[in-house]
Amino acid sequence: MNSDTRETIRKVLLFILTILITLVFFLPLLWVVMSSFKTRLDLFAIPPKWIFTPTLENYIGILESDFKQQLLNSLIIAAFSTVYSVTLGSLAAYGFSRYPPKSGNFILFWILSLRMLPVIAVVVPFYLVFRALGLLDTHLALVLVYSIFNISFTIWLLKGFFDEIPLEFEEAAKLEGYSPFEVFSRVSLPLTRPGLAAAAMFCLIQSLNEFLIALALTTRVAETAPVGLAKLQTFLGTDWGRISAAATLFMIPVVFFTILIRNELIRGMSFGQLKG
Amino acid sequence: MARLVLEELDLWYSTTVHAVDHVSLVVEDGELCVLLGPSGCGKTSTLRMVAGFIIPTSGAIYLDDKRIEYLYPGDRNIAMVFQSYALYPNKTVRQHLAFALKKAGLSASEIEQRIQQTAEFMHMEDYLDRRPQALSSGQQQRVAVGRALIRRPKLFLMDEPLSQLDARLRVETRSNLRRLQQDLGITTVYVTHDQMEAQGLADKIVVMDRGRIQQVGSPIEIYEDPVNLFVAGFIGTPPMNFIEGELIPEDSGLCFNHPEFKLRLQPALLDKLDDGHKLDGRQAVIGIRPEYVQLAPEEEPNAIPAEVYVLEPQSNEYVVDLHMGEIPLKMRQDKRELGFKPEIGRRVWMRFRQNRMHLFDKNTGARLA
Repeated sequence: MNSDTRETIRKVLLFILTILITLVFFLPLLWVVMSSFKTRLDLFAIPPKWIFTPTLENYIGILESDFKQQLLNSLIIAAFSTVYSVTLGSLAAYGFSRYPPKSGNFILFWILSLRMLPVIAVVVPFYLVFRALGLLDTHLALVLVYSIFNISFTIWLLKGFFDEIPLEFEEAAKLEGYSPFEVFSRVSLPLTRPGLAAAAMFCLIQSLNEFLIALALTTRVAETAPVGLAKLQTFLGTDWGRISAAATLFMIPVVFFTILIRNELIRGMSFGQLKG
Repeated sequence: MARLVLEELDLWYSTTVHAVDHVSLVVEDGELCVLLGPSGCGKTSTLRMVAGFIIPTSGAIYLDDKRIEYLYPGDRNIAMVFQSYALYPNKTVRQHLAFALKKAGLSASEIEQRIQQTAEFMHMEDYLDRRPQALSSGQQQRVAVGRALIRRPKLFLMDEPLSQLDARLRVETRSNLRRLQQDLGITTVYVTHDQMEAQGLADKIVVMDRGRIQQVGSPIEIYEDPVNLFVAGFIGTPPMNFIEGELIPEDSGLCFNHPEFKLRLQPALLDKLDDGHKLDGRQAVIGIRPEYVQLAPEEEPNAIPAEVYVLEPQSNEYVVDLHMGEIPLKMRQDKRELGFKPEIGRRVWMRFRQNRMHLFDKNTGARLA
């Protein structure tokens, strides 16, 4: 057996292994999507039905309920929170990287510690604060709370990316007449694109998934999809078909966004590496 | 064009680190001035103050009689080639050139024309649309120079621009850089720790050590007339030989006394001695370059015995490592002029060409003659 064939066999085996691992992770997802197209009867069939006649009744049902509004709320809140977090986070991270304050490490740790707070510990204080501000059940309340958590993460992630950019890159641009802000926006920020993508992705998913705070701070107008989903489990029984349909709809924006930035994301997840 | 003046430039990094110590210097219009010294000698700090990345603790910098030490780097009309080249991985060569010009207030057609001109001049036409990763190190270096030149700055700064190239390319690029600088007549400050590079490029060399200027002069002056032990030892490969000893008077003349030998100092050297010094009994160091040591196969008057330790045949000359007692010395001479083959272990006699010899004060390091 020559080395070429051996290499080919190795590649094929690796490929099969990859497919298997992917399937293990993908199965629950597949299950949800399949369930969303099943009738109530098919859903509980034992053994599970892999081949069935798909139906749209779950989707029609869920879109006629409040879920449409909840999904929209989730998207609005997540989008605003992501934009704020990445914008403010990148500015702050750049500051920490290039103009480190004297007590920089302390401040940075303090910012990071915001993320370590168990959410359940702050739900009640947040409730009281937002009630006093008259912001209960508003989109703004959730955007603010999510941004607090996300900015701290964004600062930490992006500071690493800014630290990796050689100072000479900025000095060269300064000599060419670019102001400090232009140096940031036209030289350094574009170089952190993978980091920005990873940060945005993270913020988006965090904001979309968050349940506890949304449950406490919203009642009707600003209620988000996770809360809505939970409320589909009632005493009268749980409509798994509708829940699956809702979950599938809820996944679409995330999947779409991920595909959109996948190239940046891979580089961002492998932490920087400007070269290559 | 431009004349650069540094006046009593001083830089403290902290209360204990004195990076640049009262540096005063004039770089004339069109001159290429090399700041030379070992790492940590303050040469790069000086350059960075001229560029405006560091504000000096005190002192002044003038460019064409305009005080610039507090100006923003972009307001100084200075360009710089960085040691790392500082090329953006996300920009093509063309975009680099355009980026450098955007703030110069030129029209789009002028920018395009200037890019074309510079690309031709630097022989970069073939890879204008490539990104830095797709370029060889030599090409990257040219882009770094081109992007600095395209703005037609008053002053050109270079921070070890050749250190990333391999030896062969470095020598070639060195002469290209020199030609370019002379053709454009652009005032240049060049930082390097490589004394060969400095000798090959400079109109004026500034040797620095521990934040202070040790000597300013043409490459020949620095080589032939070093003012102190540091400069003498730093310049030249193989380096200058040093022998420590004592000066003692003898027969109305002066002798250099060493446990191994006694050397009568000849008028050629004595005439250069400053009469104001009282030299009797002073601890001194002889400095002599390897090419000014001559070897004789037999004993001669005023010649010093030594033993051949290693013979290094170079292309056209021998470099001979000698041991005089415990002291290692080097000499070099043209193969044909040597007259005999200095085999390892052979006893030889060294003659010093005293008109090319230097005497330094052992304690202060300053040159006596």
